[in-house]
Amino acid sequence: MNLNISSLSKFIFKSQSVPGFGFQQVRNKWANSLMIRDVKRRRMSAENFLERSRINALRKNDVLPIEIRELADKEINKFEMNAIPLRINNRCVITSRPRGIVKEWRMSRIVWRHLADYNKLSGVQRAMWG
Amino acid sequence: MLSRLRIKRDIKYFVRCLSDKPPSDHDGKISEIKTKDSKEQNKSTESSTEKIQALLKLMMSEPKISESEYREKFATAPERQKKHKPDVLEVKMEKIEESITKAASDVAQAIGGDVKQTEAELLSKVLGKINQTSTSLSDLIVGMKVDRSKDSDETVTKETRGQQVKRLMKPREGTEDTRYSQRKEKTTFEKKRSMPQPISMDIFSGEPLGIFKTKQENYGTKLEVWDHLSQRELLLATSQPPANYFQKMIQWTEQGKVWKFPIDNEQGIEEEQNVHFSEHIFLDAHLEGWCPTKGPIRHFMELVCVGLSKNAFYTVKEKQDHIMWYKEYFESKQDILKDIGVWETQPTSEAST
Repeated sequence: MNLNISSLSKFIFKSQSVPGFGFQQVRNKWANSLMIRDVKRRRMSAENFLERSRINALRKNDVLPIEIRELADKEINKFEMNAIPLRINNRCVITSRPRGIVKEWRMSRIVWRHLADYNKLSGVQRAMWG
Repeated sequence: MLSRLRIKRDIKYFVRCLSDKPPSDHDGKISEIKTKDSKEQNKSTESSTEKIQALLKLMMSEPKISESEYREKFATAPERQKKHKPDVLEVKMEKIEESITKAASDVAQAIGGDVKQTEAELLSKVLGKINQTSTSLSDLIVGMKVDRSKDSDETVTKETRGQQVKRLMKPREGTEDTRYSQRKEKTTFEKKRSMPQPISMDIFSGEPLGIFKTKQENYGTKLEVWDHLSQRELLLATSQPPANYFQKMIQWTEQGKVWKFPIDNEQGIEEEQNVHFSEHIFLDAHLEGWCPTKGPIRHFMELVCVGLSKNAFYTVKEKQDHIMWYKEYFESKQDILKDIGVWETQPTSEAST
């Protein structure tokens, strides 16, 4: 019936993933999926930090008997991979660029330069000496 | 001024409660009250104090009605006669019998001849049928008359009380100026005419019974979500978005997003100033009771305590939790530790080598 077709078309127009029909721009908080993965890793490692670091302390010492250290080795593998803090990558907060990060501002060098030129970074000035 | 008003109210109240006369004798009371008021107005404030004292004396003296009587008459609602709802079947049966007898007499008269005999025969036939065991709805309906009056009353009297109230509370004159609204008013007004006019009552006049007191514990209901949301609404209504950057910075400073000047490194953790430094450093006390006095575990735990004592960022509670976590961990691995010979649970046998 006519009703079905029109209702279907409404649905298609609203869905963003259908190519050719989506007029809505997809807007999330994060720049890309790599950034989302990094966010997940940060959150997981923050949750499990205490427990994991305590078990790690049991491993990284030569005071305790070997049996306890081996037990701790097995226990630490029970955590998820995303709970490991070494997996966190310091990406650019705005563009999600993995390399060329100015650490204090958490931005990639390109964005940093852009903002500095427009006088948005406090205390940042073009270098000049000699 | 206020004392005078209170006196007036109290007088009315006392007169109503304590008088033995029924409330029908209205005029006498009004004149009484009026004379009293005129006396007050003529005299100075000294008379009002005398009045207060007289009232207090009245209050202290024995009331004319006893407590139980007062409770009976005024505190509890008066009993109302309940309408007796007869059984539906009984009503039906009565209806049927009435209609049958009527119908029988009508028919007999219409036929002519021996009226009484025809009537008796008809009745016997019809009633005999009804007294049979089958009491289906069709049998019952056979005897009943059909109501052929027009359905005029239903549409008019079905206005609920809520709708009535809404109609009364709506402001009538001067609000509707457009033609469409006037037309609507006309049609509703025409409908209104056929309905009975309700009695308008002012529910906020009248004396309270005094059953519930505001200072009591269970007075009223507490609506927490409602209060929270009304507070929020107030805030949203009164607060304006910042007009300039200064106001924005002020907002952020109050929220804690921006450092306050002069810069204090311990902004946000002011409670730590009350904690003495010895609680941070001397953590061996937490090892007492569970940790063995010698061996690798003691060595390890002492290292842990040294590390914690140098930690400037943990609170005392967090440090204690850290040590207790290790205690629970070692206690869960007790059997393995005992096999190794590292874990001795008897605190007295320290000197044994």
